Amino acid sequence: MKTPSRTLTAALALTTVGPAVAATPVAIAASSKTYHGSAVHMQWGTVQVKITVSGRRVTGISATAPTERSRSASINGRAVPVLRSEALRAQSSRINSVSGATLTSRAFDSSLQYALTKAHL
Amino acid sequence: MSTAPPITSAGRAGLHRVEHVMGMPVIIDVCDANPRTETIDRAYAWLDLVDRMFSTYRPDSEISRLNRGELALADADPAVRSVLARCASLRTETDGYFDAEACSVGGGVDPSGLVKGWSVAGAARILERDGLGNFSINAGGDILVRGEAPQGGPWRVGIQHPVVGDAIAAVVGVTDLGVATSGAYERGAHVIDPHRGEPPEGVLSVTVIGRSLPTADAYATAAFAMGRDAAAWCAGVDGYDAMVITDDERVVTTAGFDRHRVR
Repeated sequence: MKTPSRTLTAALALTTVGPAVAATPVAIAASSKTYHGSAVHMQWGTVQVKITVSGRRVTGISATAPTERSRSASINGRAVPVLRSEALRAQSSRINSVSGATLTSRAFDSSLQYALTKAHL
Repeated sequence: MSTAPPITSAGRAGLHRVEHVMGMPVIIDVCDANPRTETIDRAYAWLDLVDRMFSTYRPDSEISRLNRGELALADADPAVRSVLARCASLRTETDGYFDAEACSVGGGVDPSGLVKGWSVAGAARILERDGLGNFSINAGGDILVRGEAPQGGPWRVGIQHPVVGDAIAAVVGVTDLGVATSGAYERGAHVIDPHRGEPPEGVLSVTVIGRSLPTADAYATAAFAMGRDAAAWCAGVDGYDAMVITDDERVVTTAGFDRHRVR
């Protein structure tokens, strides 16, 4: 049970993608609206999703970062800036659907997918 | 939520509907012009029928009756026997990591890990039989797509980031494929490594793309349960592509996955 070595990774035709560049602030238009769900409890802590929509485009996404446990904080300290920038770039090209681990009805109410559905995107 | 009327977006050809069945939101998007409401109703009715037959949360389901010894396997519905047989073959294919028996909380068998994708594939056939060729079905995060998206071209599917609810780790452009993600980031949706009886380590989420949604779903569950071996196992699977996010923040993809990747 160990991570494949670099050689093994190459042999298995895997690609390892490093962290992306830091997030770029996105200007919010005056006509934008926000949609958000209630706080959702996840393994790493409590998160609340909020999206900002201008026309039919998501121009901003924010969430409270999990802070419940020190391990969460250390993971998110690195992962949040990286993947928030990924998310904004994704939205600028518009997505149709979100794939994630099984959403229960309750969790869905607080999810990004639900925010997108409410915004009719 | 269960009593809320379907959400229909105005100003778009086709149809967008959300209903809560099988204990989760199921979103059907149809891009074909003027789909019949009755067709979509039948797809949701089928999902509800599957839930009544398979749910371990319903005491009167065939699975619950099997587990209580009130129903013999030979007397079960052919669909139940077919799904359980597929669970057994998937268990072999995945070196025991997809285990419909180990997943069960109260003993017996729990094929839930396959039933969701299988039921969505059935719903897709209902839509196709009525002539629909461009649609997406998202059942609690597992997605089956056919044909083209509303904007034309492949459906753009965002892969939920496993740590932060607001983030997407990648976007894939897919058509005529299933996309399934397994992860431990939602409370109550735990995957256990059946060989150790504990949650896997070293992996935050596994996304699998392939022709069959139920198989992709089972592979994602199995690979996630493998923990640090997830990526290596996925690389050896024919016909299915994968993205594994590890707890040291690496995003590892099979070569085939990158062909689908838009972002």
